[in-house]
Amino acid sequence: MEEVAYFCGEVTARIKVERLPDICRFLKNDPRTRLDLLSDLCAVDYPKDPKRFEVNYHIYSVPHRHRIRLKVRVADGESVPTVSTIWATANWHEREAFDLLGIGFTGHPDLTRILLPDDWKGHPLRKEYPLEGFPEQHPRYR
Amino acid sequence: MFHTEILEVNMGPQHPATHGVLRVILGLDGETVVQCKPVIGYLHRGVEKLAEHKLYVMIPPLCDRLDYVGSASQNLGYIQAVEKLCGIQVPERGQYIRVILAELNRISSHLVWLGTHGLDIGAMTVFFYTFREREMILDLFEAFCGARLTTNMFRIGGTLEDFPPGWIEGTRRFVDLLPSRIKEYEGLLSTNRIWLERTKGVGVISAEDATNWGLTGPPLRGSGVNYDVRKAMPYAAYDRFEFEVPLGTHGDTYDRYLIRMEEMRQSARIIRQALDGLPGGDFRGKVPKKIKPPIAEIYHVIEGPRGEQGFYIKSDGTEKPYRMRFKSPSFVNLQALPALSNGALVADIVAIIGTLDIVLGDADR
Repeated sequence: MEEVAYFCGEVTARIKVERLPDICRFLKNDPRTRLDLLSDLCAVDYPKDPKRFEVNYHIYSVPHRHRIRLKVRVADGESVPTVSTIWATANWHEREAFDLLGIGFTGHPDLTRILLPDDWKGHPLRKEYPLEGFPEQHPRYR
Repeated sequence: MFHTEILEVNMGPQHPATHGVLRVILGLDGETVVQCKPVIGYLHRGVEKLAEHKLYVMIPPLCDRLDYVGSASQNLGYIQAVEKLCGIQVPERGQYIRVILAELNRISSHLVWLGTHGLDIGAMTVFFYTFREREMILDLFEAFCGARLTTNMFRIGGTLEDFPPGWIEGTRRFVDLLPSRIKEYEGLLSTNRIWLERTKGVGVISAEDATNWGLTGPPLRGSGVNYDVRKAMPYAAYDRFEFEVPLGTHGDTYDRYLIRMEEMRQSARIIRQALDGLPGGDFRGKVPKKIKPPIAEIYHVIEGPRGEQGFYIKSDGTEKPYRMRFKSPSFVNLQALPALSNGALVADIVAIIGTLDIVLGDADR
């Protein structure tokens, strides 16, 4: 655990990436937290930072009615351990983060593109990717 | 099961039963489905990237076009997330108008679901009935804001307009009429032997699996998990109204059907209460000329017709969001299709896709 922040009634915990699976498993199984529903997983790109990608996990507890946001940071080329073994729903969310931002997830069963075609080049949600795309790379799709 | 060679069959991307452009790769042993792999992305428009290049006030029309059947909920969720981020207060009348419109939208969305779900399974008559009532809701939307489908009815700080003259009476007439019409649909379906045969015990998912797959909305409640954002974390004015959250027991297609039918009744009940207690005053609060949130992030969820809709905004203190993320219930619910179709027949896949009530615009974004 590196840092905990509160804003608008939301709890955010910044954690070390290598501790992620252990922490997630604990939060899901411990009777005091019981965070059993992974509501969303999304990644943000900060190209100026040395660890440019931030992955957010929004987790909800159905019995206790509370939420938490976990954050991990990784550099380009590094990967995050998958949580799809803990919450099955993370599977497609992680594929989407891989597709649109190019973040790797170790241990993921099927890390392929999901929203874009398989032969697409680049990752559109990265900040350096222009809004109109690279026309010379994708004549087929225009 | 004959345990012969497995035949791979492509369903979609253009197929009348896939509700848009969804492709499902099926592995078949005789008529039994042994593998099922949904392939999406045919309607991907890069809305999240687009939103990063637009001002906060320009984004609601994009939200409308994600889940075009439940556009009011999409709109409401996004606008509430921005309001939360900037600390903007909404007057009570504005909150009530929002609830009324969002619930009308839920009814119209469920009517589309019921009509097309029936059509998929072979009950054609229901389609004509439900679209007759849906037309009445769309007329109400048109009278309110001029648009019928992608309504864009809400504004940061309140709503677009106050109710036009005669609108409240028209809505009252509709919600008084609706229960008798729902009885008509149920007369056609609830005890219909073909309907029971096609829906009972089809697409069963346990409560534990449903939570694990992250299902929300009627597919989650069909398995008996009591999670409705309107009750769990009330937003807008939902804490002022009395309503029940219907729950299923078996987690099959029939339970999800019953739940959506009951939800329509409950929505009508909420609208009736909101119309009775409609407070006076402004429909829109004071909003700064420029929407410039502080450097912060927010994740706001609301209960859409299909389930939990999440809106994550990361603001860097400028007039445009640094990162805009739409969590769509269709995307998540569709992922569970293989889990639901374990050992199903080919014809059941059509019923299961229908019962998940996906909108591909919402899934692909």
